[in-house]
This record gives sequence, C-alpha cells and structure tokens, in this order.
Amino acid sequence: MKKYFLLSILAFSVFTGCAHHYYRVKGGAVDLYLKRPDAISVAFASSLDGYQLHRAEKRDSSTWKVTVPAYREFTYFYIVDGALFLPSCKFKEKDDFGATNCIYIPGL
Amino acid sequence: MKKICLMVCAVLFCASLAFGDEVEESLSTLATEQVKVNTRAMINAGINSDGAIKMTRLMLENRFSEEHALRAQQIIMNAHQQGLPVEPIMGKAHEGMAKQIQAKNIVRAMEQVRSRYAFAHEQARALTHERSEIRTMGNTIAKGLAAGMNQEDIRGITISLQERARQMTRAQTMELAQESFKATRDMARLGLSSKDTTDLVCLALQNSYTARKMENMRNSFMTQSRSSHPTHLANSYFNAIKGGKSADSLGSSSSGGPSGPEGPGGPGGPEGPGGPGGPGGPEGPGSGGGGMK
Repeated sequence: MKKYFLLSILAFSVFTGCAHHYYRVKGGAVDLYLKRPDAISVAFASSLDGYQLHRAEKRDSSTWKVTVPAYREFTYFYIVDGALFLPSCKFKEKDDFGATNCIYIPGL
Repeated sequence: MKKICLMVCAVLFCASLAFGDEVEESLSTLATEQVKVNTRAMINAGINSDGAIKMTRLMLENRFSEEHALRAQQIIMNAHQQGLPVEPIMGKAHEGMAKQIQAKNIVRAMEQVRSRYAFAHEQARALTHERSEIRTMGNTIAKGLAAGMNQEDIRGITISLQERARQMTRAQTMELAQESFKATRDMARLGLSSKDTTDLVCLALQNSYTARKMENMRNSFMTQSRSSHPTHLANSYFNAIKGGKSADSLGSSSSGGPSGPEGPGGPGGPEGPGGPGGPGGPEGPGSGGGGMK
C-alpha cells in the first residue's frame, strides 16, 4: 500500500513537472520564483507592460526568478520552453482563451 | 515682407514634413490602406495614438489578416464610443499574442472583454449616474466577472444594493456598493463559486451590513483563506451572519462550520515558500457551491 502511495506521489510530481511557485516582496519590487528543474527557458509576461515576454533568471539547477514592481496588482503567466504555463496561485481569473491567469495583489 | 512670408511658409512646410503622419511612419510597410485609415480614425476619435499604433503594429507582426485586424480595431472603437475603457481590451489583444493564440480567438476574446465591461458599467449605472463612480464600480464588477462571477448573480447583488439604497444616503449607498463589489471580486478570485459569493454578499446586505462591515468581512476572508478552504470559510461566515455575529468575529472558531483543507497547489506567500505547485494549463474544476444553506 505504501509502495503504491509513493508511486502515485512520484507520478503526480512527474506529471505536474514538479512545479513550485512563490514570491517575496522586497521594498517596491516583488521577486517571483518558479521551480522548474526540467525547463530550458522560462519567460514571464504580465499586464504591467502589455504582456511583453521577459526572460527569467536561472538561480540554481531548478529555480527561475523574475523581479517586477510591486506597487499595483497585475495578472501574469509563464511561457516555459515555448508553452503556456500557469503555476499554482492563490488568486486567479479566466483569460478568455480557455485557461486562467494568476493575479498578484500587493499586500496579500 | 514678401520674403518673410515665404520664409514662414517654408518653415511651416518643413515642420509638417518633419512630424509627418505617425500612422504612415509606423505602419507603412505592414498595413493595408484600410487598416491605416482605421488606425487614424481610432486616434481621431480620441483613443491614445501610441496604444492604437502599437496594438495595430503587433497584430500585423503576428500575421493577423486584414479582416481580423479591422474587426479588432472596430471593437476598440465601439468600446470607446460607448464610454468603456479600451485599455483592458487592448491588453487582451496583447495577452493573446503573447500566448500565441489564433487571431480569430483573440478577436473573439476582445469582444468578450468589451461585452463584460458593457454589462459591468450597465450595472453600475443602475446605482449611480456619476461618470467617475460608474467607471470605478464598473471596473470592479468587470474584474469580478473575469474571476468567475456570472451576470445573473451580479444582477442579484445590484438588486440587493438598490433595496438598501432606499434606506441610505447617496454617499452611503456608493460606499456600500463599492465595498460589496470588491468583496465579490476578491472572493471570486479566491475560487469561491459565483453562487456562494452571491449568497454571502447578499446575506450581509440583508443583515444591514455597512460599507465598513463589508470591508472588514472582505479583509477577514482574505486573511483566513490562507488556512481555510474558501468554500468552507464562506459556509462558516454565512452561518455566523445568520446567527447575528459581527463582521469582526467572522471565521473565528466559535462561528461554526469546519475549516476545510487548502485547495490543490498551495499558494506562495510573501514571507516564504508556499506548498507544491499544481499543473499549469486550463483551470480544473472549481470548488463549486453547495455549502450555503
């Protein structure tokens, strides 16, 4: 039983790409972190600048980071290896294309 | 005198050449004549020229057909003529192109955004005639719709507010309406169903919640959603309000209703790492309503 439980956890992790997403606020900026050890390239797009793509910086073997202003709310998503990727996030809205966007809300 | 006049004319002629037609300069190699005509029409109608040119240029660089580009421009112009904000619609176009969505689906999404704001502003106009209030409230309602609220439920909240308005001053009504729609927007953004959100907000309104109490409820809900599932939290708030508890004590352990487990893919917080993330792509099934009695 334990073996099957561990296998299902492993399968889930593989399927979801072991993604892990969080952010830290420093002064007037927010650092967004995305753990995607399998990714070759990660780009970030937000409503702050009309969804221009910004390359994320690779911090270590699995973590990508992007820094944006934190003074107002914005919607965002990632492009990982050329494909749309939405990480787990607390606040979401529909994107009118059949998927969703994350929302960053200052102070929350 | 004649020489001075000739010199002035020469200077003016050169100046006009120097400024030129910004549409022609920006779109000359990309756009058909009709697209350029439409772009100028957008600018002449009062739409920001940089925004109009940038959006048009991007559409053409992303291989929009002339038909789709013209349709997108028409949606923007319609919105502007109706007094609706054009930035969210232009933003949707940019978003779609960043996501490499097909042009026809981008145009469809732009129209959806226009329609959403049209409905939202219509609801706001049912409560106020002040243009700035309509714009602010309409934008909040539109964001609630984008987060998952349906039109029928938004209408229900508007009706509840109109009923409350009979017993309040205009200023009090506006403040309460703004807070009610902010609460609606934020709860929907957390994944609470349209029905559950409406039930909770309308119950608060029926229990004579003021703007301050509505704001307290919203803030309390947002804070407590870090450790409780929104549906279970809404359930406990619903029972608490029905039981006569104040907004300040909502969600406390004594207010009844279990706190559910956090939903899949815990959020990252500002202080440190969150739980493991979930998959990307289209949103899975929502938390659904049914917690309200």
